[in-house]
Amino acid sequence: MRRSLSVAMLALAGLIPLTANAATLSIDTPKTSYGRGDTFIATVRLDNDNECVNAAQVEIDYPTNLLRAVDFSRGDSIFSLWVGDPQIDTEKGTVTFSGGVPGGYCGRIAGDPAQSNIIGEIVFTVVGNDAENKAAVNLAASSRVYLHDGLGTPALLNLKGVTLSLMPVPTQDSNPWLAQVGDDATPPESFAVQVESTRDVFGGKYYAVFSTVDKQSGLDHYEIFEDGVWNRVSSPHVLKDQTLNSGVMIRAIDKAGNIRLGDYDAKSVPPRQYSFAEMFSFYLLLGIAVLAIIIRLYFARHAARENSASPAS
Amino acid sequence: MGAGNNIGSYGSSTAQRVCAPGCNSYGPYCGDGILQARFGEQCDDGNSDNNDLCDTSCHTIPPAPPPGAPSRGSTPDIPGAIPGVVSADLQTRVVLKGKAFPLSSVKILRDGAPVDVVRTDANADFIYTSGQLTPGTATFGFVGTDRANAQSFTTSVVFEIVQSAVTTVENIFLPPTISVSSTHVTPGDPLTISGFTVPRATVTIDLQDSSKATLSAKADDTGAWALQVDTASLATGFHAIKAAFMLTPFIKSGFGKAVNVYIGRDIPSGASSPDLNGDGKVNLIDFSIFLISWNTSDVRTDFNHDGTTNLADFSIMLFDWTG
Repeated sequence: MRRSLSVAMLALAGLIPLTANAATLSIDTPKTSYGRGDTFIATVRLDNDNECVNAAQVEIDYPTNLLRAVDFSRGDSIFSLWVGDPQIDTEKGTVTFSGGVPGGYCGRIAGDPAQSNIIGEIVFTVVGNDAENKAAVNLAASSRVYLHDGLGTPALLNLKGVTLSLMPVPTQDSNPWLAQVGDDATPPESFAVQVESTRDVFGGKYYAVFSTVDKQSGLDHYEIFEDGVWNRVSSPHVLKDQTLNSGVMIRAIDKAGNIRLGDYDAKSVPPRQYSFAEMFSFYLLLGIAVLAIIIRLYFARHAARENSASPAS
Repeated sequence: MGAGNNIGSYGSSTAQRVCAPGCNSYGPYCGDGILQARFGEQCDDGNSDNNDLCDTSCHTIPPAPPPGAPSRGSTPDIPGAIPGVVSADLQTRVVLKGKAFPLSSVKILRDGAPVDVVRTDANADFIYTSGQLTPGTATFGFVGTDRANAQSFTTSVVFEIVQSAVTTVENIFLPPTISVSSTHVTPGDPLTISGFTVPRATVTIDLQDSSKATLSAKADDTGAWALQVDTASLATGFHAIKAAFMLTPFIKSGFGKAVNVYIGRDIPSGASSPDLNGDGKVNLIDFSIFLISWNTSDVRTDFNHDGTTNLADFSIMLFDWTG
């Protein structure tokens, strides 16, 4: 019989510091020297340095004549909520992303075998010229990290990029990103699809809310089954079928193509809320209908009176 | 744009690309500059040129070695290596232990979503044992609800779930719950601050006053604590009052959720709350509503009143997260 190992850690959650130190955003790579045609993964890390933080927006610059950012992985990220998808601009040579940790991130806990400080991983391919060259991958000054203080206070921030030496020939036989994706046979984590109706949001129409993570290659996108086909979608999404009769099927797909279908519970859907415009229209029509009935009754009674008042011929 | 069915399926070249539904963009294709490993791409340099490092089928073309360079060998197979498959009979679980409030409940969040609720004993101790989990970095959050139905601030820990191991995390200490007798107090009138914490712990209360004064109270055997504050000496304005507990030098919490109290006669107009749909929770639904207002001047989501819904407001929402 095989037994599981045991790993002990101390959260020391009580030691949330009160002193103001600088957080550090940094980039590191497995090696500092790569060759033309090599693909490597650059890891973006957040070191809190005794400061509890909860959100970051990051912009990374790289030289487009030497490197090309080809993908972004959230697989090992400590962020579980993302403000949109990470954006790669291969013309400007930038990678930007924003995300956060509900409840905050107060640093590595004692005993954790991993550093647990990764916020994103960027896959680069070396496209440089034949001459040996240096490529700097830098964090832009516009990058921000926010304290977990409930006030939206920007943290003091240190930025540490990485400079790589580039060779005219490849330095590795395999592509580590393809290997990582190839090893991923696990679908994204299970997740709930909630259908909501909020009076001031989308005019009260039903919309779907969903979010999950993938711990291996990272989440790629979501799809919804509407009009007989799977369409790419992001949360929140206003449902085409406002009757909800066709059900709600949303699936998450990771970078390796593994699929997880979201759990939808039709019984948990709240009653439809109507917007003020819809309610106004409804009451206006109701008023017009009531007025029409009153006028009709008035004329009918008036006609009846005239008929009863006129002498029999 | 494009031809055929607009289903956004993968195109093996620029010529084979397929419209996405709605035909406002293409589906993924070889030549779009994005490395779609799940479709077998080894590279994607954003063109359909065969004379660079990436061919028209998105397969790598090794550059010719310079004259005189040694030839490159192949990677040897590693005997017995089984790539990427986790045996089902090995358990990957977590056990989480800590203190909250006596005889109450603690909601467990994993990566922001609620996964379970556990009970505490009379000493405020709780223990959570997960089922089988996926290894990797995870964030676990803890929200306590005391006997008066007041909720704590979300306390989080981030750590690596170790494959084929039971990862135990201890010393997760939730800060005290906090309630006030009134959120608007005329200077000189009494203000009572109360809540629950670990039995017999000392509670430190930060009034966020210009005097930098901190007060303390002692919790009783049931974990209840209370303190009456003389407001005559406090500055006029909003005070974000928060509390932390200490039982021993090693068993103590950080400061928890702040309660805003206005000391003064005329209260300014109210601030907006991250509970955007008013259901008493701050969760994914509120986050979705928040995203709709991203980068706008929507006052409902501009929690810090800087004129724009931005990452500072997102940070405030994450601070108030209840799952």
